[in-house]
Amino acid sequence: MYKKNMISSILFIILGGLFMKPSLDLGLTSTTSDGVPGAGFFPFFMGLGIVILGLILFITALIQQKKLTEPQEKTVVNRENVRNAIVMTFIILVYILLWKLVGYYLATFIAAFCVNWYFKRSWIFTIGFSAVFVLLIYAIFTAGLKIQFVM
Amino acid sequence: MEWAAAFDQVLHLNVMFYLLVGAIIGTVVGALPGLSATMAIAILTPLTFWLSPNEGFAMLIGVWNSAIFAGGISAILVNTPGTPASIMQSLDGYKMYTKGQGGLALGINVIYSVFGGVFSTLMLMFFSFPIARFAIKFGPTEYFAVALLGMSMMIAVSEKSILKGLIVGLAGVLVSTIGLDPILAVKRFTFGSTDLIAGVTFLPVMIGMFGIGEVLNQIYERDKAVEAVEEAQKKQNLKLGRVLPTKKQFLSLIRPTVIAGAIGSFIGAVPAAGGDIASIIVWGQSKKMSKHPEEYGEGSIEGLAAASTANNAVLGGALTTMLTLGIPGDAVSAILIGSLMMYGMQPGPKMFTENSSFVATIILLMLLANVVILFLGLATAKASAKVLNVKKETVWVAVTLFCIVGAFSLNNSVFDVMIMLAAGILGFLFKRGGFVPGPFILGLLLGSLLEANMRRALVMSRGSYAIFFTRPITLVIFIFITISLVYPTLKSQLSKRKKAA
Repeated sequence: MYKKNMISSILFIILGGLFMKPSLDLGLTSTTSDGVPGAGFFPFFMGLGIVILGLILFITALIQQKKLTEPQEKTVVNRENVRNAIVMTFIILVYILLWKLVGYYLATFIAAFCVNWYFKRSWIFTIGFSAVFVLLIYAIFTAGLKIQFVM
Repeated sequence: MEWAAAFDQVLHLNVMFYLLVGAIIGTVVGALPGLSATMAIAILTPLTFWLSPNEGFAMLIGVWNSAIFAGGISAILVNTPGTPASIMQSLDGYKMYTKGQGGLALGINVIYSVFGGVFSTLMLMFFSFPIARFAIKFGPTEYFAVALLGMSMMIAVSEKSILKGLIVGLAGVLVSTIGLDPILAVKRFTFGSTDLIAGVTFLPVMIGMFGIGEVLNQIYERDKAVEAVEEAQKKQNLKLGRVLPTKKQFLSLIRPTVIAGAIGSFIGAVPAAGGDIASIIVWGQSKKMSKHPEEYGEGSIEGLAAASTANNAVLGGALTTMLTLGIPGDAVSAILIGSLMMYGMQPGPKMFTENSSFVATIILLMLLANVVILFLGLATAKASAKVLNVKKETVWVAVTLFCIVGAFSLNNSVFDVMIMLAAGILGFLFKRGGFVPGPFILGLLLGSLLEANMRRALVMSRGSYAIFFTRPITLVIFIFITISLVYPTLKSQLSKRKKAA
């Protein structure tokens, strides 16, 4: 866990830092009234807070690492699950792209079909589910709520 | 006056229809392990913007109440809570099922979930108007303190790590500063994008984190061995038996369930202390007070009834905090705040003067939702077991596609879909890194309230921070904040010392 904490603490420190610099440019005090905070005041201190807490998390992770005298059991990562999560994200991205290219309904049918096929559902289920899902979306959103899925 | 108008609004065929639809969706969602009320409401909220506020809220309240009750169905039948709030129902409910009392367990779940819901709604009805009358005196400093209290409570109950909760909460506040400055209307962190001028919209983030993020996490954590055990449990197909309790059982349950309703409503009113915490506390308390504590965890009707009452009693409490102070009691009420804002209403004391009839409508919808659940739940108690046969893959595909449709239909904007997707991936990464997304959402929601009121207060005091410590209500709230931040740390230190001793 300490490795995860180290990486995430570094990312949060970077995030805080990224907001602090432009916050200073926005101004910590207002130009209109004396002592009243400017547009950069709040994000600057929130960013600073994240940097400080990120540092604490980093130091805590370092201490944890040093305390570990025995080799830790490696976390077993199920490769199939990792692959599935990546494929799912990829299909969503392709779906959004397809939406623009072939229109919403065909893209939805293809996306539903691909995900079901990927998860090894039967052909009948895959085709049936995809068709019913598209019809359902059409009935609820387009026919019922008059939403047009045009990008 | 507002009650008459509310009755008029609620007793419309359309409103009833959407309430029933919501209750059915909520039952299916709640019964399926892995699908939460938060996820369902986050996905359905965009759909409700195309309806009138009454119809939209009827659907959301139907989903919310029924999903929490239905979480008990899978807890009873497959020993897996459908929602976190039904965690304690699996202890006694599943044991009852294995003893051939599954029908009675399902019946108790319906009846006492409804009892808890009605009890807490009555509390909401009696207490919300006086609280709002008191809170109407609040100025910027008090609102700043209340927003801070909401954030501190959420951080205080962050799972495992308070430090991580704080970091994520602050990150949420930081993201809330993107867009126009609330006081000076200066553009901040928009990187030249016109889409970002209005800021990062709260709802796509919610949909992404609780929808896509959850789906990705479930795919990542999938354990086929555990699934095989669950499948075997589903196939047990034990006799369910009768559904309704006997008169003697009913009378013996009055005392523990009234206490459970009161404690559950109170816990619900505490920001961020949700149904899971309420049912754990109530179940433990009920066991202590019971004449038969040895039966708890072994199929106790009393234990199941108390837990069922508590998890639905939380809803009225959460609504009290949400409506009167404008701060969310839990993740669902956070979405409801966003939903009210989209309808042009600002939850908080002013809502009780400016939109008092809508407040009354919400209260009546809560009561009506419980009536619907009672009939629907009892009529379909045995049939509801069929819902559990839906495969996880089917749920993942449906949730993913609905998330995308829902995010788009908010503003017919692809930008919202991209925000939703980014939030989904972020939510997934948060979970993998041991961070909970709750504080982030709360930070995003309360960030602008926090900033705008802090700066307004400083404008009033001409930059003097003494204004935050000279107003009595603000000072009292600050003391609560300090307690809520210090207490969990002290508690964990004390328990560590006890264990060491």
